[in-house]
Amino acid sequence: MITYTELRKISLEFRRLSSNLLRSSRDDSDVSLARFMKYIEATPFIYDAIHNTIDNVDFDFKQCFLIEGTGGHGINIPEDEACHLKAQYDYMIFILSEDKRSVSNEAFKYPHSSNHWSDIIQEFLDDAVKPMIDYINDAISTEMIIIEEEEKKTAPSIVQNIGNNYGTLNAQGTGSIVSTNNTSIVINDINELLSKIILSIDGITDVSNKDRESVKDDLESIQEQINSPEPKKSRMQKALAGIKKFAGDFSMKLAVTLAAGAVTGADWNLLIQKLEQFIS
Amino acid sequence: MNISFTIEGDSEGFVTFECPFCGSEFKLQAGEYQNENEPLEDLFCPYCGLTREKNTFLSKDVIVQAQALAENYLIEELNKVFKKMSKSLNKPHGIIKMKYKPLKKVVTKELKDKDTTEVEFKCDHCNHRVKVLYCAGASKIFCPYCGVDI
Repeated sequence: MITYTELRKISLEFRRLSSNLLRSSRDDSDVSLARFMKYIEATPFIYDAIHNTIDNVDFDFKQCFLIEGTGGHGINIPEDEACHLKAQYDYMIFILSEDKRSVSNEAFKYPHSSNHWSDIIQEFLDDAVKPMIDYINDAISTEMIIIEEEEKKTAPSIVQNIGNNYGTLNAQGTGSIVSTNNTSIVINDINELLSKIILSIDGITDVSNKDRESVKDDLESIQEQINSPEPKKSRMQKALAGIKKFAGDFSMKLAVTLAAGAVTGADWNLLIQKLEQFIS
Repeated sequence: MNISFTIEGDSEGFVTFECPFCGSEFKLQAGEYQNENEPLEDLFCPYCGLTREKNTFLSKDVIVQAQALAENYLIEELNKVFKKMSKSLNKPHGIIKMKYKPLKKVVTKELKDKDTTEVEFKCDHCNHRVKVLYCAGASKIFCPYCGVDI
């Protein structure tokens, strides 16, 4: 069975090749198509994704890509997705296998809105092969999601009852954990942000005095709790709610330049994030 | 000749880009996108995962702004030339007279990104950030910088 890492690699390689094909020009469109089709054939996962869908479908690609007759070419997309997929696959093989066919010559025969070769080719490839690329990318992503879900299911479940915890808690099913308590680092970060932000409050313009005073109280309350030996979770949550509301209501006005530095919206967000982390 | 202009990011400095393949919009942090220590050549679309030169990911608004500024530059240059020409022709006692009416400049607007409902993701592989519209579990999100799934 294919692994998640293998799928990641296939996904990246396939997207790179597809992108090269979709942006190709007159000089490299044939070689890009050849590499693209070769990769499909040589990669078992993609090969299966395509061939499991199209091998039992009886559909002539010329019913989708109207390439016969003396006039210009046209596209008539079939309703059935498997037929559409088969038509795209067979048409690409046809272009590569016929001596007198090339991507640029084919592209030129379809209606186009530009006079530049690159645009004509890219417009053609968007119509003629992009749906197959999307189909393959979806198949890879779907398989990755399935593997992720399976890995989650097989991961050991851990039940722990925790009373008061003022530090970092790590847990795993088996084996041992080396844990470094970094609460003091978080507190230092929060204190630093609080000092910076409290100093900047008076510099925030277009906000009423009442709102400024209110958020200042909340920030000072957090400062007091965080430096106390037994911080009160409920008080911190209340103050945090006030800070969040202020940051949400006045997000565009929070940037203040100070003599010592600048306070930005990102500082407020970082403070909220660190407080949430500390409280939880 | 260089014409430069500024795009104001959202409150966290994220600027909007648009995928040339699927047309979807996403946001990248301006500082990470313009980091001189890690110059970028290509970007990946976080939604469809396809890759192309970074300039092709500029949004329609940015392209319109660049075209308007280029047009204004051209208008300014033409106005200068014709103004000078009309001054030299419209001398007293001159036989040929010239009427000069300057061309009007195209209106340009300030490019500003608003805070929207996108979710921020950070790539474990390269540590860059991206903001995308994400429906949980519906599809994969790819890192615009290194292309791996996030």
